[in-house]
Amino acid sequence: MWYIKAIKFFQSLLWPSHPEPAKSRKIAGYRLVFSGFSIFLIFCLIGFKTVNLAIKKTQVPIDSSVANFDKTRGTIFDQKGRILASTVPVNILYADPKHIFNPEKVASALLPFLPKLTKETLLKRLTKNSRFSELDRKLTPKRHSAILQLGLPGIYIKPATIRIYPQGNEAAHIIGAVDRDNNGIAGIEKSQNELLASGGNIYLSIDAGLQTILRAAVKSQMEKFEALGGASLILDMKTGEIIAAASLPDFDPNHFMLSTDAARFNQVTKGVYEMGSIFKVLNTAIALESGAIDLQQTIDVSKPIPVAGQLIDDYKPINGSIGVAEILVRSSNIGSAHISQMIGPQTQRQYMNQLGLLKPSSLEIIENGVPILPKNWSHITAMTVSYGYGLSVSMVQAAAAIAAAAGDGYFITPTLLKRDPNQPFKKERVFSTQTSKAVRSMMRLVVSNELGTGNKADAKGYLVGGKTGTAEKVKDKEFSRNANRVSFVATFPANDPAFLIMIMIDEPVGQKHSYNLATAGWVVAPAIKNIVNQIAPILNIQPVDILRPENSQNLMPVMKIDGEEATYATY
Amino acid sequence: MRFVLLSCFLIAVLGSGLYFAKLSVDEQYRTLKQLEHEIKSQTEHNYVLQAEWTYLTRPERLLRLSQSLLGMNSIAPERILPISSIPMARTKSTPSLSANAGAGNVVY
Repeated sequence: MWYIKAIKFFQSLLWPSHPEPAKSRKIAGYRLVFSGFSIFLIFCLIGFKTVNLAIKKTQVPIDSSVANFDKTRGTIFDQKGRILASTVPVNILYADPKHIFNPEKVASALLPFLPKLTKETLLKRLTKNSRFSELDRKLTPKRHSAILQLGLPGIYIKPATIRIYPQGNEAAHIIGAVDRDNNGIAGIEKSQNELLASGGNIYLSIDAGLQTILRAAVKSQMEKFEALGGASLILDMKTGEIIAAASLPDFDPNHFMLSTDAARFNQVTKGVYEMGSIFKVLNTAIALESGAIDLQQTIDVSKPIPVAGQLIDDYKPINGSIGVAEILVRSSNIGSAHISQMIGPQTQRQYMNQLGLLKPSSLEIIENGVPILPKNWSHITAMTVSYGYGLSVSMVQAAAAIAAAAGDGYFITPTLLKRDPNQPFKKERVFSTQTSKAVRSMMRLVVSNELGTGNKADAKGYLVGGKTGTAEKVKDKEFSRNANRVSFVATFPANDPAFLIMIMIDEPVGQKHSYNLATAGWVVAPAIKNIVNQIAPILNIQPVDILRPENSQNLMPVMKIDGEEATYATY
Repeated sequence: MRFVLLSCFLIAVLGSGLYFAKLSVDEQYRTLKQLEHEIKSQTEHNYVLQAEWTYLTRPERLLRLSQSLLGMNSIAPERILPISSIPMARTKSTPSLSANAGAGNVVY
């Protein structure tokens, strides 16, 4: 057998039985070759390994704590580049209950660092039947290091991101909020979710500074008059950008889940309301534009109009006949109803449609109110719509429509996103320059004339024009005299309106200092004055000298109020 | 034989050159990764700092602080005047002041 021979051969090499001089020399030779070969093999092995190690690709350890941060959700900025919503890294503290052997001990050690949890809930989480049990999402660096130093087994920290809103409650309804997985659930966060989720940034038309002023002014007025709520906006009339929008009560998007449904409701864009007398601005503009009436014509407003078993009446009865301007300045329902009959329901409807009041606006937000239209647009409907009843629209819609009437006559679709100044946008002419000139002059008289309802809004130097509105709220299917929604729409400066402020206060209560009155003139007008005084210097609006021809030529002085002709000096 | 020896020498030189080149590439790759990591973590810090800065300079806080600590208020319209209301120095070419000049002639 060949293997027995081989074994014997190797045996003879290692333990030679009979060392003979001739043979032992041969054996020594074999031994030499064998050891040489073995050493050569070992060197080959070492060389191979060395080369192998040298050509192997170097691996660099990557810290996992920042691995995913570049895929973060985009930032929302205001129009000046201030952060409204951003994403920051956080550390999530979690437990793997399978690695915890003494939950009681771990719980008592952790408890001082988790102020939001009670011992029971902490124990429940530490004994949960899963491999991941979240304990805290917003770990501060201090608590982070303290917990690391405890060195508890089964307690781990992993990096994540969190959405933060540094401006707190400001513009919360517009910005919206995200859920735990950073998906938008409200406002711009939801409507622009796709863009934000892919890392894109968004610039809103909102200006955080003006937003703060607006919100503070409305809030203080609401508190003074014990009101239920308030909504307000500032619109750039030249571009259609909404530069501030506050709906109160509001919420802190950093703690969205803690807010009530009432606080989450956006009254500026979502709520649709009967606007009341501020619609008279539109009625006047439509009447002048359609040629139904001219500025010299007068209408008898002394008798209330009986309609469908009810009376269209004036808050303060007026005797005799008055002109269009005086009807607006003194806010006569009777006069407006008469004018609407001269316009006719079809023409009125057509203009309302052109002003975007009959369909939802194309605002870039999901909370977008759908207008409630009258069932049929009859003569009676035309009368009620003329002074703001029977047609419910959102505040943004009303503001855009009034901006068209009081501005340059162009209807501009309102937007919440910053417009590129080099990009042209759609402007639709609805009213002629002559009509809008008349309308803004009348709106100025509402504030400047002593018969006007908005005297308290007159911010000296800034030529505020406006219109008050008081709409009765429907309670138990009936209009309630005691529950009102008062509003004020103001434009300034009246010679060349650039900005529109609209404020609506829900159910204000008359106070001692207002002689128990809670009308728009008492509740909202002072807030308008306060806001204009603060924002005009920021918006680069200079006080206007009305006696200079370049300013006065934009207004119309020939309007009789209370038998007296108005002059430039009275503006 | 001489050719074989020379080739061996050349291979040895080129091989070790290649090896050192590879080593330096590895080193640079490591530096690159480190820099990338540093940029990422700095970006992360930046996000946090920007958020903190925005929080501290939020208009609501500035308004509150400027009113309570500095007693600041909005500018009254009387204090803003058009440039034409400032009387200019008299020169030879304009012998008399414009009749409209002067703050007293501005009506708001």
